[in-house]
This record gives sequence, structure tokens and C-alpha cells, in this order.
Amino acid sequence: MMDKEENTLDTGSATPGGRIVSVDFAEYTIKVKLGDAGEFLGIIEVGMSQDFRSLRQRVESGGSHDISDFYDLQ
Amino acid sequence: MFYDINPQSKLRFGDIVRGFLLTHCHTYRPSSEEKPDAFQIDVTHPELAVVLTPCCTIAQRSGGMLILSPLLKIRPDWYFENSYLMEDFTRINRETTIQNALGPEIWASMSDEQQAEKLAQSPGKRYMMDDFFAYDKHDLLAEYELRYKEGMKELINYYMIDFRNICRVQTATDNDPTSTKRLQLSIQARRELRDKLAHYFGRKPEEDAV
Repeated sequence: MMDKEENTLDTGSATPGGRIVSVDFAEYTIKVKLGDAGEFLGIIEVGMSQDFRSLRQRVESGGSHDISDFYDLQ
Repeated sequence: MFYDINPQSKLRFGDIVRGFLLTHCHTYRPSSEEKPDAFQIDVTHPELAVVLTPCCTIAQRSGGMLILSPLLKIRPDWYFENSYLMEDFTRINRETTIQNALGPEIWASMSDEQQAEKLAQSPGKRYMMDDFFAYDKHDLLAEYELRYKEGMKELINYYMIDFRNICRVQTATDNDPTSTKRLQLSIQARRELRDKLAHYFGRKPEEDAV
């Protein structure tokens, strides 16, 4: 499932176009480089998307975003 | 991957099931009298429901008891007002930034001061929509038309459960409810459901903070 896109073009760079797409696969997040036409160019990075905090740490990690001014949550 | 492509035959926490009657009891005026005041019991037969009994409790057979929550259609305003959720509605299941929780459209409409205030109030990644957990699209889940203002409409098959809407169901102990199973969550999605449910019940009021 595609989650995030990053434009790889930096100001002043002569690097050819393309983009890096993060794909979640099981507990891994794989960064894939795609060309201008969306063609597969390679895998840039494989990382673990697992949250290593314990359940207690996650529960106690803090509150939640209050968006009730903008959305009806009832 | 949200659903397990090799589901087990037994029931698991987070499974989508069908065929259960759910009840909801209204106690209008709780009374300590021997005879209760007026009450009402609603019985519904939702097409699909989600098992919220933990796997270990199911494994212990728990006397045919299951805890279920009906599978609901998602809210159109949440979907159409937030393009971050339109891309993937299951993002409400995971911690995210306040910018994403509000959505790019609302965030862009705020002044710099309002954005700074929001970031100060709500830093880092946190849960949003605490009471709800989304279920991803799947071919086995019926599509429905989600309508919103000014002719915004879309055929989708995202669903969600509301943690405030949970019901205990008793099945015959000699009955095997696994035939009612439709979909099983992946390990990752089941972990997300467990974590968000723990967050839902684990929230600490300010006055209890030590």
C-alpha cells in the first residue's frame, strides 16, 4: 500500500527526474525508486516499520489529536 | 496487507463474521428499586460484525461467549474533507501528525498562528478518532455509495467499528461459530486493532495524571 511519496529533485541538481515511493509490506517499509513514467528503477531502502515500544509505553505515550472542532466524532 | 490471505479456520480477534444478533439495552433512569423503571431492548441483525474477544480467550473456549461490534459504513465528512484519509482510510488506525489528522485542506486554511498553536497543543504522532477503527477495502465486502455535499459521491467498501458499540453474544457451546467467519486480519492489522483498543481504554484523564 502506497503511503508516501518524496520528490527526489533538489534545487540546482542535475539528477534525472523520478520519485521515491514508500511501500508497506508486512512489518517492512520498502522505498522504491520510480522513473518519470512510473517504471521501476530499483529498491532504495528496506526498513522495519515495527513500533518497538512496549504496549505500556504506547498506551502511555500521550493523548490523541483533538480534531473535534473540525469533525463530528459522535 | 490488511487481511490475511491464509485465514485460519478458528475465530481470531478482529475477524469479520456474519449471522449474529446484537442487542442494545436502554436503561432510561437507572434505579436501585427492585423493579426496574422503563427500559427497552433493541435487537439488530447486522450483516457483518467484528470479533473483539481476544484470541487467547477464544482459545479457552469461554463458554460460547463472544464480544462483537457491528461493522459500520464510514462517515462521509471524514472521508471527503480529508484527502489524507481518502488515499487510505485505514490511516485512522495509526498514530499520525496533527497536520494529517486535520487533513491538508483544513491545515492549509489555517493561519500560521493557528498552525503553531495546534502544533504546540498536539505535537508528534498521536491517534486520531479514538473511538473508531477502520476496515480496509476487500472484494468480499459490499460496495456502498458514500454521499457528501455538492454531489460528492463515491462507491467504496471501507468500513469501521465504533469501540463504544460493543455487545456480548452467547452461542451454544456445542456450536462451532467458525462457519460464520468471512475475513481475518493480518498480524499487522490485528496488532493495530489491539493497540488502538488498548489506547481507547488506556487514556488517562488529566486529574489522574501523577
